[in-house]
Amino acid sequence: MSHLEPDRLVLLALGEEPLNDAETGHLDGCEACRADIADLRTVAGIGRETQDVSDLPTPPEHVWHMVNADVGTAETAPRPGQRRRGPTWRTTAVITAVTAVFAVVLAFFLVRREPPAQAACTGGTVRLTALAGAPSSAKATACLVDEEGEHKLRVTATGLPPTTDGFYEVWLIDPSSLPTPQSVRMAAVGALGTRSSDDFTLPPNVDVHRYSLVDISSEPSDGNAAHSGNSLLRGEL
Amino acid sequence: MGGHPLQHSRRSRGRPIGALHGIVHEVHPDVEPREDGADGLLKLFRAGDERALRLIFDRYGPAVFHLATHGLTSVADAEDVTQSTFVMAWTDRARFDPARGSLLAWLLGIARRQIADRVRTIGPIRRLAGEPSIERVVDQLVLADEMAGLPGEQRRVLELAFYDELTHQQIAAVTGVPPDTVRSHLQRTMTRLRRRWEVDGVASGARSAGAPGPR
Repeated sequence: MSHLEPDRLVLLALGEEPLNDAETGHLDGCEACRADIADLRTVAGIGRETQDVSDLPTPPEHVWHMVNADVGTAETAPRPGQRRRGPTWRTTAVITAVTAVFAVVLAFFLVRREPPAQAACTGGTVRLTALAGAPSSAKATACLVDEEGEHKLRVTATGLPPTTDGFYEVWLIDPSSLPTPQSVRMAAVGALGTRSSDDFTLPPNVDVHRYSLVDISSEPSDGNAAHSGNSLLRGEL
Repeated sequence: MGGHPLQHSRRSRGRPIGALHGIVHEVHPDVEPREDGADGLLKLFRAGDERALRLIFDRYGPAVFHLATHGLTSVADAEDVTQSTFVMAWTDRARFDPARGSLLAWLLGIARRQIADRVRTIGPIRRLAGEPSIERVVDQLVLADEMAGLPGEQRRVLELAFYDELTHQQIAAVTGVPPDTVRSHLQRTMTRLRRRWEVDGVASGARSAGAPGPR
C-alpha cells in the first residue's frame, strides 16, 4: 500500500487505534512512515505533559522591578513635560522619624556587640591589593598579632559580597615559589567569618618570613581543600 | 499556556487577522501565525519598543520562572535567573533571529545557560526518578505555547485527546463537533505542534527540519 494517510498517522500516534495488517506490513518496509509515527508519538507524549505547565505562577513583582532597574527603561525615567514632584513635608517627617528610630536601634546593637579590646599589631599593617576580578568594593588588611603568647595573623576584610555557596579563605604563600605555578608552596590559614576582622592561629611550622604573602581567595563549598585558584586580594607582610 | 492571563496592549487586541500578514514573514516559515497577539509582541520587541519588555515579561515570565525553579532548588536562585534572563534578553535583543526559532525558545535558551552557570557553582541538582529533564521541560513549555496559539475549537479537541485521552469519536460525542472535523483538527494541530517542535525542541531525539534549536 502507499504511505499511510496523515490523519491516520496522527490517530495511530495518539494511540487511538491499533495498526491493521496492511499498515503493519507497510511500516515494516517504510522508514519514512516509521519516522513520522515516531516523531508524532514523541510530540503526543510531550503534548500530554503540557498539562503540567498550564496555569504557571507569575514571578514575584520584585523580579520585574529588578529587571526594570537593570535595564533602565523609560518607565523609570520621568516623561518629558512631567514636573518631578519632590517629597512633601509629611513624607519628609515620616522618613526622618523612621531613620531616627532605626539609628537608635542600630546604635543599641552596635554597643552591645562591641568586642573586648584587641591586642595591637606587632609590626606594620599591610594593605592587601585587590586583584583583577575582585569585587570593586573589596578591601583587606593583614598584620601579625601576639595574643597571650600565641602568634596570630589578623585579617580585616570588608566589601566582600556575602556568599550563599562557598566562602572566603585566607592563605599564606611562599612568594618565591610563585614562578612555578605547579609547585606553589602555601598554607591554608582559615576561613573568613562574618565579622570584619579575624585573628587566625598560624599553622605550625609556618614561618611568616618565608610564607609572607597573605592571600584571600574565593572558595566553592565542594569539599576540595586545595586553593581554588581564584585569588581576590594579596599583600606581603 | 493554559489559563495564563495574557496582557495584550489595547492595540493588538481585536486586530483583524489580515493585518498579521504584514509581519508573518518575521517568524519561522514553518510556524503558523497565532491567534493570541504574540506576533505583534514580537514586532514591538525587535523594534526596541520599551513597552515590549513588560509585555514579554508578563507573557513569558511564568515559563522562564518555571524552568528556573525546575532546574535549581532555591527560589532565590530561580528569581535571580529569571531576572538575569530578561535583562540579558533585552540587551541582546538585536541578536534574536525569528527565522531560527520562537522568542520563547530563545528566552528559554538564555535561561538554560544561566541555570547551567549556576549549577557549575552550586553543584548538580539531584533529580528524583520520574522527573523530566530540563530539556523535556523546555519542550513542554514550547508546545504548551503553541497550543495557546491555536484556534479555540482546535485547541479544545487536542486537549481532550491529550489530557483525557479520548478517541476522536468520543471527542465528537462530547463536543458535538462532527467526527471527520475532529480528525481533521487533530491532524492539523498535531502537524503544527510537530513543526514547532522541530524548530524549537531541544530534548535528545528531536529531529530538526532545518535550523538547529535555540541558542
